[in-house]
Amino acid sequence: MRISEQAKQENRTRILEKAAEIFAVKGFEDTTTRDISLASGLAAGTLFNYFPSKETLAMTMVTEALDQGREDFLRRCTGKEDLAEELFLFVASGLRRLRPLRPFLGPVLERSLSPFPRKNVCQEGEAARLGHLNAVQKIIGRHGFAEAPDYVAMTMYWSLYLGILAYWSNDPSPNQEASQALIDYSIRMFVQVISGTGSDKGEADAG
Amino acid sequence: MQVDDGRATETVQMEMLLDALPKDSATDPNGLALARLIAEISNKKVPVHSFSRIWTLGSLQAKVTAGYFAYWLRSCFCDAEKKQRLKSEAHLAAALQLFGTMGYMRGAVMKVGQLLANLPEVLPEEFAEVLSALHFEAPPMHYSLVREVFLDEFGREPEEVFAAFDRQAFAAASLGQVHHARLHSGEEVAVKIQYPGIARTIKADLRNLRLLLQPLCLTIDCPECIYTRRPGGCAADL
Repeated sequence: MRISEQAKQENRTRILEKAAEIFAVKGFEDTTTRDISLASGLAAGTLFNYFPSKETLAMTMVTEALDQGREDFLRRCTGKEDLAEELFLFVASGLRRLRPLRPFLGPVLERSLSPFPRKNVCQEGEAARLGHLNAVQKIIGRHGFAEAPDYVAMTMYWSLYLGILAYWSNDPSPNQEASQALIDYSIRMFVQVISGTGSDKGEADAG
Repeated sequence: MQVDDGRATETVQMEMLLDALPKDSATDPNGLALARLIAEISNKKVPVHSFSRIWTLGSLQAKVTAGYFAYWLRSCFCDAEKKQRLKSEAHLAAALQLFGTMGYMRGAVMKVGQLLANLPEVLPEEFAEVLSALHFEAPPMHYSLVREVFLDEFGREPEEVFAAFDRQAFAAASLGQVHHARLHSGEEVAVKIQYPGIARTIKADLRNLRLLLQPLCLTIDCPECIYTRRPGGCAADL
């Protein structure tokens, strides 16, 4: 039986909603695709027509939240921010949208965004990584850099960002304020490195 | 790869600090050394946990002691005039160490520093002068962070809560920073925003203080011990 495009979209949305509810209750590891299918009112195998795996399903939620965070950032950005401030706003806007997924986010990010070499690369995770780095490069480009940051700088940024995500997903402080301090500190450090203010400081002082 | 933005911001920050800092010191007439020290500590993450805070204070004590020990050794081999100069230098170095650590730790420790700055008759002149700069520390929270604090506390941006809100804080010190704002009714107000995590630093400082005062419990006269030894504790006195 063929179903309409609208019905497909409705099913997809329902699966994502139900999956988020079940992940929050049972955790990502203990939830099966069968649980999600049953809760969504679908046959066990039908779920795979929409999402090839549980990881892809969870990562789709993350990607959608990060996309919304990017929209929030563009809306909130006033153009008066310096580079560190704008990067902070970008990361914080994304994390704010990810907040409802926080209870089960740790294992999802570990599987889908791990920087270590893997046999099966999660396509959704890779798309999220490239989308995020592309946005960061655009932000950096707006702040007077003659050329785009090189591969090393972006790898360093991504490592810092993964560190922030790992800490934030398990941060017990109220409103994750410890993570905010970590974001601020990490971004200042990154900006200092790419702008060369750290290495030039000695020369400036000597001069 | 070059960028003007970071340096421009740094220069503006430095000019702001130089304007704000006291400049009547004989040893640092332009306030440049203090401004650099403040800019440095503004970029550091505030230590929140009890252990890291007490470790920082312990290191400070060791550094200050080592400085005065060096002064004592050197003063054994010089005349009275040079001895006086060395003493002044030792006081200044210790005061800068104290200032750097207190500014870095913020919270209750920085409050103690501000209190000490108000006691020039008790402390050497150098200490009071340097520590007084703790009243003028540059805003460590940029506006994006302020907006996040607002969203967490009120669920709205500062511009939605107020009719007008200054991006730049006009004062900042140990516990928070203050911004000019205008209410929707038109009334001008000052909005004090607490730094994220500052409540935990105060709790950590009080925990450490309690730990440091524990040896007092070994003495019989300790009031807390008297209460705990009586049957019923404090309730017995009431």
